[in-house]
Amino acid sequence: MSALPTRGRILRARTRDEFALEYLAVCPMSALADAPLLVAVHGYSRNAAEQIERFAPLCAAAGIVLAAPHFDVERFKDYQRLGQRGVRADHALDAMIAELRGSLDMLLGRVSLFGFSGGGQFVHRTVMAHPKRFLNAAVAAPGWFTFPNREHAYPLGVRGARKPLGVRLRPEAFLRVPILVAVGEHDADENGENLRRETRLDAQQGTSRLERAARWVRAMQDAASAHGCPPLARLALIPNASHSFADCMDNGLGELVLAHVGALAAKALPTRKRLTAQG
Amino acid sequence: MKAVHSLSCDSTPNALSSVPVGAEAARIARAARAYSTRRANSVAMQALRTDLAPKTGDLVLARVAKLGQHFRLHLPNGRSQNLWPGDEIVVAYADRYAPSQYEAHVPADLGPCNLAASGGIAARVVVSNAKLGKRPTEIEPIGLICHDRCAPALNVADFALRSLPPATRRMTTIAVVGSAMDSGKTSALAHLAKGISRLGVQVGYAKLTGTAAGGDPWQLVDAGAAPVLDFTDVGFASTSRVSTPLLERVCEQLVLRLQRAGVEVALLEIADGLFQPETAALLASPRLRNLVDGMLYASVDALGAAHGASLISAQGHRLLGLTGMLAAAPLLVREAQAATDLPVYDRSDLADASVAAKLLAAAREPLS
Repeated sequence: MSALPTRGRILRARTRDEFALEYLAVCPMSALADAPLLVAVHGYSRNAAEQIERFAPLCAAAGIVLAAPHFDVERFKDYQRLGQRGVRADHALDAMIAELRGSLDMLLGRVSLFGFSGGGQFVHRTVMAHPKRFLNAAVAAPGWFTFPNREHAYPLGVRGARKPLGVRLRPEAFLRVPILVAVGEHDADENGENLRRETRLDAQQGTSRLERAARWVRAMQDAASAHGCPPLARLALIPNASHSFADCMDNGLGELVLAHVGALAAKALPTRKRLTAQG
Repeated sequence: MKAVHSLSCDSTPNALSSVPVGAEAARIARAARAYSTRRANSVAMQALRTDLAPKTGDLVLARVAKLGQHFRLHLPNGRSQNLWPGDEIVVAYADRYAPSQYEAHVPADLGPCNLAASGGIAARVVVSNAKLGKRPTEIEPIGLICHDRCAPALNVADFALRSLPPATRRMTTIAVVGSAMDSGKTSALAHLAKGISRLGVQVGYAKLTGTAAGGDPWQLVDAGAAPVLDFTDVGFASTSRVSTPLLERVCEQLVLRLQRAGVEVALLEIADGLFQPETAALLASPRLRNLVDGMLYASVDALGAAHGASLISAQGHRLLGLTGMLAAAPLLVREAQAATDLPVYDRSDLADASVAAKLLAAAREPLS
């Protein structure tokens, strides 16, 4: 890959490690050396190319490097839950980012995550597991969530996550990552395709994606308040959209995500104006 | 040891110094050399004088009279040598300010004094921390070390790296300051050095202030930092009671040295707590602000974190986050985050390449 120009074209690669994760990436011609990285994660269809196709023009205009992993169904069967029973998708993502840093010769220190549907499940759980690695995240229409409480065991809640994941899910850390939850205003079908329905899940989270997103954002905001943090989770409804990535993008999801990522990229860590006094 | 590592020393006498001119030179050559004197050339150590008053930085041959708190001596190579009463050691006169141990000053004469730090500091202890179980180790100066009996005492400043001319800074710098001594500053930077080196970025380290200590630099070397420098490289055994302009120069010279070595990211450590006089003066210095892109603050508790973060920000520094002993206690982390709204990084976070990249990006962010 290094022999080819790395800017302004879609790179297709596979990580050179045990994960062998396929991914697509685009580094805009205009990207600065300290450009941020947006990782867009596919949903149930596992269509990484669609993520690149729809986000690339927006990222090119904003000077943001874009990458989209392809979690194949054979090895990353339950990537949505980070790979409890298969290959660890969060570790594979980490390897992909590390490899991109080398391939592009860029620091890529400001990493934002986006995920649609199953990708949204993966993204919010990855942020919960590794909150200090990411600047912010946006999830669109996840089927269900891990709630920031210890009343439920992982993956419904954070209790006992250490055993399957090897890390504790610590609210005091992940509540500090700004998360946008977007959901189509018509994504309220209780019998929607691929929507997981179980009595316990329904009782905790609700019966539709819309209801579950709203409940989760509320739970994150309440948890933030309990931990003395500002509420950094917010909900956005996408007008005229149901549970379709294309539909959501056609109705402003991309702009919403870029505004969230871009607006927060510059102030994800507290900064103070330096005094101008010269010695 | 890495080839570019700067912990060069003269502990192994070269061909010339292995042929001492006289009995005094032979006696000096047999003594254990302390880390604080590591840059001094043993060839120059030929004679002893007892007719001079000691000054800060002067080299002295001393006998261990009575062991106390410091019963080991850090050698130039970092090994801690166990001391015995009667051992002769080459150390440097310097002040010390260490709240968890001593305040010690350079005495006015060559009378008995103390080994005030294991790194090889001769001084008279004036204040001790009540928690210390032992009294300070007592030493008896035998004579100031000179090149000949007509020359002034050799001083660590005589062996400093030569000054570099000013240059535009091109590398990124991250400094760590702490709420107190032993708040976890060195450990935090060692882990960050590992995280940065995992990014394939060349990282260097300099300890800007403090008291000579032979163990700390090796933590950074082991984590991948190169070169590793401290104030002893620019002529100070300790920076206690050193004037602010001189301290600013120490900082600038060490940063220039790292840049000259091709470092892309420089990690800088400022010793002791924010209220320590030299640390407080440096934090308020515009010259230090020009040297530092971002700061990490190591604290032992949440109250110290909140107040310290406020002090650092008030001085115009960009605070990247909290770290140190506090980060090991989840409840203190929660308190500190609630009080400061700053991220808290424990050691494993800092050694993570992604977190290191995030910190570097934040440090490089243009200031509005």
